[in-house]
Amino acid sequence: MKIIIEDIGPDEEEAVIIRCREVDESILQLVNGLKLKKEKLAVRQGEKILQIEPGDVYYFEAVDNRVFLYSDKNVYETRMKLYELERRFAGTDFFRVSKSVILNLAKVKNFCPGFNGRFEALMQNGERVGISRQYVPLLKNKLGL
Amino acid sequence: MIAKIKEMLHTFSYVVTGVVFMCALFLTAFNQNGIIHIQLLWQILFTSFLCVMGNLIYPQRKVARWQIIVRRLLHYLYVNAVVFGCARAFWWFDVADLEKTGFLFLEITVVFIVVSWAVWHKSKALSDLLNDHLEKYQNKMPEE
Repeated sequence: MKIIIEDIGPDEEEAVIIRCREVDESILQLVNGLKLKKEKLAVRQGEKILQIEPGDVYYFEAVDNRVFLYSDKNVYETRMKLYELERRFAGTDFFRVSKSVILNLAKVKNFCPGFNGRFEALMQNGERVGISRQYVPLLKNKLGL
Repeated sequence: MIAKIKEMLHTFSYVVTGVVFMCALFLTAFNQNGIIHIQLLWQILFTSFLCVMGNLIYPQRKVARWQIIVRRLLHYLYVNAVVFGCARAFWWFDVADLEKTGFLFLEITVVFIVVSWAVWHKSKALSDLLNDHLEKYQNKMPEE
């Protein structure tokens, strides 16, 4: 596949054109990845309200009716519900792995077996996130297994 | 819930295999000229079923590593209690016989370790497969 990057003038609108024979899974992932870069998430950290790129989020976790975002080193809170986040990021790298966690597959270092047939995702920052058995078939499907 | 039942059925097949081996060894060691009653087959299945129920001790949610270790220990004690309880209830042997009790205890430990390893190994094989596909997934650019 050729990658062509053109320089444009300061007044011209930036655009990404994908020329393909058919829109397959890899093309969809590219499109979703580009969309993800454009969006920002409004989050709270203590008294501060910040905007962060969804691509920087390692995982979302619901704890006692509150939803937290975990990045490389920071933890933020969002007002969005987990199901809302799941809908918003449907078709992207974000994937639900348990009732309370949505994981960013782009930030997973590897999967490892836990105790008694369970799985864990080892994140790129060294954190471990549990994967419920019931979501394993969906995960397999998402990864094309 | 369905996933949990599937997992338990899978473990049940491992446990039944282990218990059959355990019985074969035990009977070879202590009851070479004895007669095996048909009830023993049902007792094996029943005992295995009770042993597998011990898997319910592991929660679906994420827990600390020390909690897993404690639950593992409790699971092991539960399996011992089930097997010795069944041995006594079904009159397999006199539990006061230290030689037979010691042999059974050793067998339970071996079967517990082997079944735990088999379950872990199955998960390891799947996680290796998932890791292969994760690498391909993360390399998102379409192939040339």
